[in-house]
Amino acid sequence: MKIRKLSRITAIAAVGSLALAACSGGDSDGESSASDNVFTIAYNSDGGHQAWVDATANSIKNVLGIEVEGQPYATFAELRTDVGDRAMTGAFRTGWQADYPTLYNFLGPLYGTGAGSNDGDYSSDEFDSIIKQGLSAPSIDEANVFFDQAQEVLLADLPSIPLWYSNVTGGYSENVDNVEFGWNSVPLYYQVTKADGTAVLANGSEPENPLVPTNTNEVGGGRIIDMIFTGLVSYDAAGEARNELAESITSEDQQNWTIKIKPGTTFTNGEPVTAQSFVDAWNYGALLSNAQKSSYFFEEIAGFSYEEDSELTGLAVVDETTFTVALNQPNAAFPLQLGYSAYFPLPESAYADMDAFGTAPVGNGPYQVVEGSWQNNVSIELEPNEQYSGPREAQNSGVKFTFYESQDAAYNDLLANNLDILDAIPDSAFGTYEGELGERAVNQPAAIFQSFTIPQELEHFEGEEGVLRRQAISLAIDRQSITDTIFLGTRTPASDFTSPVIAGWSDSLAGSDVLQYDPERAKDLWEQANEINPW
Amino acid sequence: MVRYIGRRLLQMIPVFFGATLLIYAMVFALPGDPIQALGGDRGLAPAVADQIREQYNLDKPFFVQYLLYLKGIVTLDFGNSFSGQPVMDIVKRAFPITFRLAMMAIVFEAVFGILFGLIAGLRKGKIFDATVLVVSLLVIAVPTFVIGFVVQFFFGVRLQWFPPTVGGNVSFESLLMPAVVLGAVSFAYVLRLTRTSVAENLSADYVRTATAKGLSRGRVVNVHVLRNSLIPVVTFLGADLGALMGGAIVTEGIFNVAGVGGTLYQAIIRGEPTTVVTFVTILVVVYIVGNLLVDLLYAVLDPRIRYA
Amino acid sequence: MPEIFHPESGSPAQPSTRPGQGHFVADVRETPLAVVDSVNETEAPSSLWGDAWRDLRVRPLFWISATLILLVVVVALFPSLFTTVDPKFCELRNSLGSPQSGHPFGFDRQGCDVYSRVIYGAQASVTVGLLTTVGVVLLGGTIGALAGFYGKWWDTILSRVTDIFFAIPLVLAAIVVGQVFSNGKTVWNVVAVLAVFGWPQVARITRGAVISVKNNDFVTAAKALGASKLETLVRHVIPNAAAPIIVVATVSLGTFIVAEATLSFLGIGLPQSVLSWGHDIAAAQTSLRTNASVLFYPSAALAITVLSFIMMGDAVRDALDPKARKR
Repeated sequence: MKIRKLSRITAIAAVGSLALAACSGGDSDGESSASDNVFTIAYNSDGGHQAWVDATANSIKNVLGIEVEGQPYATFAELRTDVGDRAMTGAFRTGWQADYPTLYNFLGPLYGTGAGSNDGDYSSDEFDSIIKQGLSAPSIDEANVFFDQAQEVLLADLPSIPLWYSNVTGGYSENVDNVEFGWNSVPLYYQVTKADGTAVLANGSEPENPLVPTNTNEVGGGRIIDMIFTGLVSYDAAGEARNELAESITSEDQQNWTIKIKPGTTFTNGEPVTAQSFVDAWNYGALLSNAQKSSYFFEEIAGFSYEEDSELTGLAVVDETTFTVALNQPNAAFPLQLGYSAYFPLPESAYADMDAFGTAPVGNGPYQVVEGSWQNNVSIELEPNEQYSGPREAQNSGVKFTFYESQDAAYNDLLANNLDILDAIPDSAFGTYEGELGERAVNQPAAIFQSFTIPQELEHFEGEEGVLRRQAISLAIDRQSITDTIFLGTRTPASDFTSPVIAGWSDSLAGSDVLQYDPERAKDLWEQANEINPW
Repeated sequence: MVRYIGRRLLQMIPVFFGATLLIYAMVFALPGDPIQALGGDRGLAPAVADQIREQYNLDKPFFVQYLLYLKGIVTLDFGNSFSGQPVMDIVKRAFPITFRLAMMAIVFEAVFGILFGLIAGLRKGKIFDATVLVVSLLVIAVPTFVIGFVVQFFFGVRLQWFPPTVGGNVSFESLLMPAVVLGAVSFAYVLRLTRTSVAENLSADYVRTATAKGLSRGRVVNVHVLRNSLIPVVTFLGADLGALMGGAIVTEGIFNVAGVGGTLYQAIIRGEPTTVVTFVTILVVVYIVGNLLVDLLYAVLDPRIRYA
Repeated sequence: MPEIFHPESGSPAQPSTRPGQGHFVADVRETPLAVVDSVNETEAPSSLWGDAWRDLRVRPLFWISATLILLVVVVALFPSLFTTVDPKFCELRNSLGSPQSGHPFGFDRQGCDVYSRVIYGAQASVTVGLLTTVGVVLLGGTIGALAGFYGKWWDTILSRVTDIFFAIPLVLAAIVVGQVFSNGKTVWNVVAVLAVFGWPQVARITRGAVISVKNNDFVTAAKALGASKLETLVRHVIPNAAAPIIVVATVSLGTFIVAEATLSFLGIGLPQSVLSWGHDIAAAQTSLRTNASVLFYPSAALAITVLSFIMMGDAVRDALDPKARKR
């Protein structure tokens, strides 16, 4: 009897105290209180970022002795909304993949005052004026000198803390040859050869939008668009631009451009590719009521408007193979941009019903979609386009993309030779893939940059105190250790804000020592900041 | 009986409205603006975002959106996903394959779960029972992603007995591994439920009577004990079909099955009301039908249960 | 105790020898028949729970599982007794390191000590598992029992509500319910989410068990003896229907702790600052190909916890089962 009562009481006591312990133990809510300030780094939890965020947080914590924590967001939408509403209470992950291989693409859209992706609200007149000078420079090389100077301003202010450059990691099976990855981390499928002549099996992801060039802003659809269309310019494996459909792109003042296209090329439905094809396509992409996601690529062309439907007055067709472009401001890098998918031409048949066109696109590229082969979320097949004659002619009998949600599944398929080309090795296989694939493993630098942004208006990170703290945090991150241990060599510690793949990149900018690991100096700077305003 | 079934089917209507309203409200309550997320890391210009928002009726108040959705259902138009695909097409593509996968999993867990549970219950306390306990423990404590990974790696990659992924190649062989992995945890439930029920019923009076009457052990067990033990098992299985269809996110990811679980998860993360509500409503119907079948089975298994 | 009434003399019977009687008729009290007539007045009245306890305390299974559970609870409540290493101190150079002195289980990917993380993680995980199971059994059990026992309109409404809740996806519930507690995520969040997601299963099982039990004769007998419907439900039907509920509850406890791992993996579970087995299991996914031991230890801890509750559940169910006979 007594034992029974006793055990009953013990059981209730156990559950009760567990509940109480849960209350007190689990109470840390990440909000800063007066004496217990926590520095948070926000990220979206479905992007595989947890490991490096935790490692970075631990690195900062161990050196500076402050509370640092990763802050996962369940949905990307929530993270973007909080960032967009400027509601962040800490730092947040920022990644940037170049649209086209220029230094400017990493700098202007991210750090220019009021720029579209300037989520930290950084604003520096010095930076803006150097960038402007760079854009008006007569040649790319001279422009790059200015862009590097602009980076030195960034290194002093540290609006975001550069972390590393991502490599592209991938692999291919024993059945294929000639696999090379392009500057944008996408394999150059057209040059892959397969011994038995069947279609090359590659991995992809379901396009998030219909296959319309100006509405495709993600890699699943972009991969296919790049293969079924071709534009004025294309990029080789090293990121060098070469003319494809363009015969010449010239300008006197870097602001007014004359573009001549090669005559005689056609779309797969027989329509000729003319200057009008480009002008109409660009106007379609820019028109507000068409709500195209890549419309901001036309921002700099005269006539563009976010307020109302407006025709691009800066575009004018001179004759069948010539048109002119008038920009709002000089931009020396303009020709380099024209390889990006937003600038591709469209046949006239598209405008009748763009949604239908998006499911069965008609292009002018090295490949075309095999009719009826697009099974949503499953796969899509491409076959060579006989009418294409350019530098990217298909060397195989076609490519079949199978869509995967998980890279692990794709990797296992690669190991079983069920897949020919994989363009991203999953985290779990970083340590083993080079051993398992041997020569067929790929690990090379890519134009992808990772950092985390500390908003300009964040308490303790403004003004002089802010600069000291930002530098301290940057010096407290052991980037080499993280890339060696967490990423197993598939990332390279950053020494600037761009990417080593881009022409003009330099690893010896003034002030880049702030991106090295120096715990002593970090602690020192942090203490100095504490004297101005305790943490 | 027919009236009973008819009544149950009629009840589907209020459930349908209740479910659609609840789920629509929950998706509406999701934090974050789904349209902004469509721009990826770069965000969208506010003007463009507004245009897209209007296209999907997301600028209207909650009840208007809900009523517009209901109006569309009358014509079997469930709206479009953010990628422009009609939701009806997505349903037609995802549900058949998931249904097939879930049915295979149910057959696996039912057959093996009941079989092993029966033997374990008959031989309670012996080696087989202990082994069965260890196996159910392993299956519960080891997360699905590990079981799936290990199964895929050994049988699909190393031994190459089965294709490692499903993808576009939907066949019995390719679905076998995912079905087993999917049914693994439920197998543990069925196993233990059967074992417990059988062990309990073995000591009931009617078993003693039947044995005393001279019936063979086999007949006693298979006809009398099993039938009476199956009620909780059948209850569990009936609800499990819906659970497997809607919850197979991890398994579908590992084996690359373009099914309901993965699609639903992506739609929830994107905050896409049309897809989420449509999918969940269909799942509710699956649950209702499953539970109805189970309730009818009760009357078969236990003649004391009657329906007006 | 009824006196043996001697009809003729009116006095307590004596060992009587009547004239001519050659044999001795003993007093009933002195014969084995007395056992039938006798009632032990000093012993407490028997009850279902009393009988169950008496049965339980002689089963070794009960004591083993009780010890294990006690161990797990003590670890959860007083982790500092078992380790002095700080579970949150992580140095990358120790990443995936093998066991050394002071670090018996080695290091995880971030360089944190696995052993101390397992010890400290017990609190959150066991709490989530226990509280969710209790919540789910109370909520689901009540709804299922009411639906099964009262039938008709109760059944219709409750079962349809159950159907609706069955279909709510875990992820959706987790994000939305997590929003409600936006001022700070605690263990209670996760418990609430898992309870909302988990009760329909228990409700269905309970309803099924109650339906099959309520047609038994003893229920009719209880009603005939004047027990109210509620009394019949609680005192007679539920203990007999308890077996499948206990099975589902004990198995579910394990799946709830693993479900917490899934929620952590998706970023909607416990906050990063709270240590739990779920976090470690989810984070171990990327180390599977290289170092599976990082997964092994938290999973083993989980398995032991689940095992102890399953064993306890088995023992309790066996003890409660009125149909069981001692063999």
